[in-house]
Amino acid sequence: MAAPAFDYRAAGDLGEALDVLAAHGEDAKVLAGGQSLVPMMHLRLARPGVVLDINRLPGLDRAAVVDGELRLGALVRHRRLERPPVADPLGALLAAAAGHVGHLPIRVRGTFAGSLAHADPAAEWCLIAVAVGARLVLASASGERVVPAGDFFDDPFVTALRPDELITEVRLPLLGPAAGVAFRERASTAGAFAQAAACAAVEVEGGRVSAARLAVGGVAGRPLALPAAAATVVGSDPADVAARLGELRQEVVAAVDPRDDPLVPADYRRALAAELAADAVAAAVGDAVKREAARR
Amino acid sequence: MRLIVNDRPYDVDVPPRKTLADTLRDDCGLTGTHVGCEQGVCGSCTVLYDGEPVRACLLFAVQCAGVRIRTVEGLAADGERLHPVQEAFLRHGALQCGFCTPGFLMLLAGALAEPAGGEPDEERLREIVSSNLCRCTGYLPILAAAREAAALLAGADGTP
Repeated sequence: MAAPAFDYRAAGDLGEALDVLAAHGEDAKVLAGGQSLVPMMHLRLARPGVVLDINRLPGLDRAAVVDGELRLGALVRHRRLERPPVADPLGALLAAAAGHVGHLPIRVRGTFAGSLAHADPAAEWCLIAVAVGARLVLASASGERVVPAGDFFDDPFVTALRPDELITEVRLPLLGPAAGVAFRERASTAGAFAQAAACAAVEVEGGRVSAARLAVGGVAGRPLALPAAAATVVGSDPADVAARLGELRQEVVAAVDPRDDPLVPADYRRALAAELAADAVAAAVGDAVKREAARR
Repeated sequence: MRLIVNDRPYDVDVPPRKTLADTLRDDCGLTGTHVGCEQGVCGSCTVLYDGEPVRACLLFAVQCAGVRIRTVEGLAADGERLHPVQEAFLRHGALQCGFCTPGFLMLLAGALAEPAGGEPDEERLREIVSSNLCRCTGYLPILAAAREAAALLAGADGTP
């Protein structure tokens, strides 16, 4: 089915784009990769009166490190992240997740920032943004604000983004040379939405796990950071982490409350999240140890 | 607006909501691009957008001014010499009803032309082929054709 008729605006610069959003608010939708918006329009789940195409805005396709953060402009597409965009372990984490994002033709068009704006609770980039503590730059005609990913996601497809705002950039903190990372996902078929996914980033210093971050996706209305579960391995010798994973699994099970759905029962999803989380943390510790050995 | 398809200009007058896939078929007369699900799932409308495979049902034609589009009609050099992916499909019987075939050909032509990628391994090939749906031939002949085309294109300049 064709999308409902709309007024098409291709903005030439950011100011023009923000003016269109200011003028049309709820009636306008931003078109970047269009890999979620356009199907929703065809299915008539979205009926924007104005479609604002930002693909011609200059400078938004930049991916660069500034002040210890990887800054991804609004037009950085999934495919660009299939290869690590930085030498920092963050680059490897992004590349590990990129292969799980849709299929190749989807990755050619779809954008990192667009995925955050769409806010599917099973989306890989939303999960990573929460796990590493990314910050989103939201611009509007009245100014700019920077919102932490932890405050950005609310419910499925519901975020802190106002109708007159555009995500211009996402800032992901570099993890540092002592970090190890892992991304784990289970989906029914390649390219399908995750039934559950887990993202871990740890630091190993002086023969101990000195810090650990863990987040899970697909098991709630938004990605969940699980600091209590991550804390179960902090202080451990990397060789003893396996013995801590039982407790870690219990913490995950206690923290997530997935909904039952006809294909994936809540209990299964909860157990899956615990397994993926344990696997991700163990793999991230292994990754950190390997990186440390490589540095010597 | 002007579309550049298979190196030829097409001046078309389409409403913003018309997809690239429908425009190619209705306004350019290029019916080799098939339309299946119209929501980006099946891949039968896959075309090359500046050399990369995309779903033509998820692009509005108005977004494509100045972009080089290539469709299955433009895959064979001079319209005569089959592209290596087409040759491989022929040799391996990688099609039956043919509905999904143009999409698979464009998917593989685009994916295998990736300059920095080198020859993809089996896992990568399977991942690429899983992008599109085939509901009658089955994937094994398609994979066999993909493997052969990949080996061939890795040895040559892969530009379709």
